[in-house]
Amino acid sequence: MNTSETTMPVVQSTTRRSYPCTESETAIRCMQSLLTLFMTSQTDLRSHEKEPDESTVPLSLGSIFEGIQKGPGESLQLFDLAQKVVEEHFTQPDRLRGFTEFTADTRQVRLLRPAHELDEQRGLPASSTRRLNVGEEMISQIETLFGTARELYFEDGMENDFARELIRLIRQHGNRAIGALTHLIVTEKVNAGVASEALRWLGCMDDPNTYRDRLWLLERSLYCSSARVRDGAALGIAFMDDPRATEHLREAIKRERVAELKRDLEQVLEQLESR
Amino acid sequence: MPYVRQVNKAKWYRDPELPWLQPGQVPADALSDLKTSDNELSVFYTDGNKSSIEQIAVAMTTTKDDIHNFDYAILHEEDIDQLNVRVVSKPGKTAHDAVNSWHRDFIELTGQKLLDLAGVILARGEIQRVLPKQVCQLMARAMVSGQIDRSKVKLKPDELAKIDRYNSQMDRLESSS
Repeated sequence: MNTSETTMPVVQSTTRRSYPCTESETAIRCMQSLLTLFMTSQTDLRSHEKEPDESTVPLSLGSIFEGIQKGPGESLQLFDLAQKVVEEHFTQPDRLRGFTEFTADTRQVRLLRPAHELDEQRGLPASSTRRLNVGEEMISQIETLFGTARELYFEDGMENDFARELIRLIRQHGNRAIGALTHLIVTEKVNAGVASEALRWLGCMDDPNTYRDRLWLLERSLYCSSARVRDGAALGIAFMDDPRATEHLREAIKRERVAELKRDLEQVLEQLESR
Repeated sequence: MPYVRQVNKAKWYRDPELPWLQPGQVPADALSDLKTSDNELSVFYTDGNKSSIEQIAVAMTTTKDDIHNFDYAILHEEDIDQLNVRVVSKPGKTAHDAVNSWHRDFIELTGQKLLDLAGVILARGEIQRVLPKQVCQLMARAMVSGQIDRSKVKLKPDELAKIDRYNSQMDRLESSS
C-alpha cells in the first residue's frame, strides 16, 4: 500500500485480499469505519469539485456491506478494494486501524469494489446500481430536521411532521438522502429516539428506488450502540419483511445484550423465516 | 383481571444500557407513554388472553393513520389497587364496539402517582409487542368477521388497501385449496 502523503483524492484499483478477523466485534467495527470513511470521502470529492472515477468509486451502500463477507474460517473478505485518500481519519483501536489499513499519518483507506460488478455477479440489472453522492448540504438539511424533531412526541401509527418531511426528502433526493441519513445514524450524530423513529419509517415507506439502501441501513443499524436505535432498525426490517435480512438478524441476536430487545429481534426473525 | 396500556416497548427496557440509570429507576422518556388528558390515563380492562390483546391491537389500529406495531404493557389489577388509583368505566372511541366496552380511565392522577405507576410497569408489568405484519393480518380478519366497522376506521386509504390485498390473497389461497 502506498503510504506517501498526498493532498488530492487518489483512486486506484487493488486486488482481492483476505484479512484475518477472529472477532466479530472487530468485523462490525471495520464495517462501520469503512462506511464512515466512504461517506466522508464522497463529501470530500465534492469539496474538491472532482468527479469520482467511474470505474472505481460509484458504490452503493449495499455493495459495501455485501463486499465484506465472512470468508473461510473466521477471516473477513474485502473484495477488490480501491484505495482512496480522504481528508479525515477516524480514531480507532490500533488493531482495527491495522486491519482496515488506514493510518493517522497517511489517511489512506480502502474502499470496496464498484457496485455494478457486484450487481452483475448477483445477476441484478446494472440499473440497480446507484451512485451515492452525499453532499454536505443534504447532511445539514437532514441534521436540522432531526434536531427539530427532538421535541416531538412520536405516537406509533400516527404520521407526524418529521415523518412526512423525511419521506418527502427521500422521495425527492433518493439515495443522496439515504446516504446522508446513513452518515448521521451510523456515526450516531443524532438523537437516538429520533433515529429510531426514522428507521421505522424507512422500513414502512414505499419507494422502490431507495429500497436496497434503506434495507442496508436498517441492517447496519442493528449494530448501533443505542438499544432504541437497534429497536427502530428491527421494526423497520419487520415492515420490509425481506428474508435477505435474516443473516443480519441472526448476528444481531447473538450480540444483543438487552434481553427484551433480543426477544423482539427473535420475533422479527421468526416472521421473516415464516414467509 | 389486568389492564392494558399501549406503550413504546423500547422506552421500557429494564436494563437499557444507560450507565447513569440505576436498576429499577424509570427513564424519563418512558413517562411520555403515560400521557394524560385532564389528569386521566386511558387503558383497557381485559382478561389478558392473547385473543383479547389482539382485539385491542385491532381496535387501537382503527384510530391510527398507519398500520404499525402494537406495543403494550399489561398491568396487574392488584398493583393498580395498591397505588390507590381510581378507575372509571368509559366507552372507548375505536371502531371496535366490543373493545370499546373494555375501556377504562385511571382518573385523578397526580404526577407522583403517575411516576409510581411507571415504577410498577417497569418492575412488574409485562411488556409485549405485536409486529405490524401481524397487526395487518388481525385487521384483515376483523374486517372479514365484521368485528370492526370499516366506515369508522381512520387508517389512510393505502393502508386500508394493504388489508384488502391481504384478504384477497387469503381468498385466492382458500379457493385454490
